[in-house]
Amino acid sequence: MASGNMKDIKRRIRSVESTMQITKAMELVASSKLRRAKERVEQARPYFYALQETVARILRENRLSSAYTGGRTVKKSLFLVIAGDRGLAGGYNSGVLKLAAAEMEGKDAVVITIGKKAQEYFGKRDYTVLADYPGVAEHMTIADTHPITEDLLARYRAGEIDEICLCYTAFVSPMTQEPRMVRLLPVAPEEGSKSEKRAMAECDPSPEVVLNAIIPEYLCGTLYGAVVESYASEQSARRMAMESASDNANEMIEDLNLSYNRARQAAITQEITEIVAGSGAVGS
Amino acid sequence: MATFHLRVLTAEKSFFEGEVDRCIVRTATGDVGILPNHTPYLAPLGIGGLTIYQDGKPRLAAVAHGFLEVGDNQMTIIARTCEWADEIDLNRAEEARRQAEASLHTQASAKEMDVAQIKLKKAINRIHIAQK
Repeated sequence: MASGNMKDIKRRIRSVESTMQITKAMELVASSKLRRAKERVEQARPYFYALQETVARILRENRLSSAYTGGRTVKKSLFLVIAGDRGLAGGYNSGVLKLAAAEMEGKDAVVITIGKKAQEYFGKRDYTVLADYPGVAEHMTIADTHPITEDLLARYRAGEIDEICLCYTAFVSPMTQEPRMVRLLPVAPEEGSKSEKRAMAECDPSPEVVLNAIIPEYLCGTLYGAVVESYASEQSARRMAMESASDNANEMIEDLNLSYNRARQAAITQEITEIVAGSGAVGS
Repeated sequence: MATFHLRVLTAEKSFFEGEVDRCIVRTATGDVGILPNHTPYLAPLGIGGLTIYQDGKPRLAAVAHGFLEVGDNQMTIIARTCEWADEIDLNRAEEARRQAEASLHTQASAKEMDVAQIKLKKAINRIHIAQK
């Protein structure tokens, strides 16, 4: 009976060890991918920030109006949701998907998804998925965002949708990622801080033309930035999840080893007792 | 000599940042030259050249799409693509031109024709800039 117990423990140790090998490997892969993703985030950030700052300032300082600055009531909203292509990344996927679902509540919403997990989530539920782009996050370039945003803008101009929101995960640090939502269209001038108002900029050839040229650029840049941030978040979430999984596996192996040794000792003790008892019986 | 601060940014990297004397860039309506203390100015970029004069020496690059903003004696160019003239891969540009020309000859939809036309313009621009 004791040897059966020992066999069971041995088998469990072996299975935990092989799981740990997998989690260890995934951790290593994620951390090397994270390094590259972090570099990309750092390179894209100056562009991303300058773009946002410039667009915000242009809108604040110049009373520009076009189809993109709103004015119509929001009936239909479009949500762009960025999630990962694979699971096993801690709370990364569920965090951003939950946020998106919460934001969509009470709105007449349609969805465009980036990443397989987002497509699975919304496809299974009662949502209309207009388009999905699986497997693009890792090698996304700014050129890849153009068809996506062109499609968005065409729908917006045609009046199919009145609002575009973007849900992504901001890469705050390797330890923290934060699901966020931003409204891309209509762009609204931020209120307040009017004291720093400068002279109206001269627009060449006209404010409308300028704004209509800037908005697609703004959308592409923001989308690219969001994808890059999300991807880095995914990798760091996965790295952390796998690290703690490996730690847990280690702990489990230690515990199992302890009970294995105990079982082994118990078996030996019992054997000795049996032999002594047997020899005593023979000797007497 | 008066200078102003210029930043040229693309999504892939911060392309250029520094004090410059003068800058000439192709906007959607044509080339414009920006000197220090320019009035606030906004314009979309076209497909063409960007010349930066730093310490009296010009440096040429090819830009395509994006926009520029001038204000407070600083200028920000946010470009979709931007490459120094001496870093352009001529073979690749020629290849891109051939491909664009080939797709222009096929009977494609109006949208695809537009895309091919823009690609052709960009390729020609890069070849032109690289050979200057």
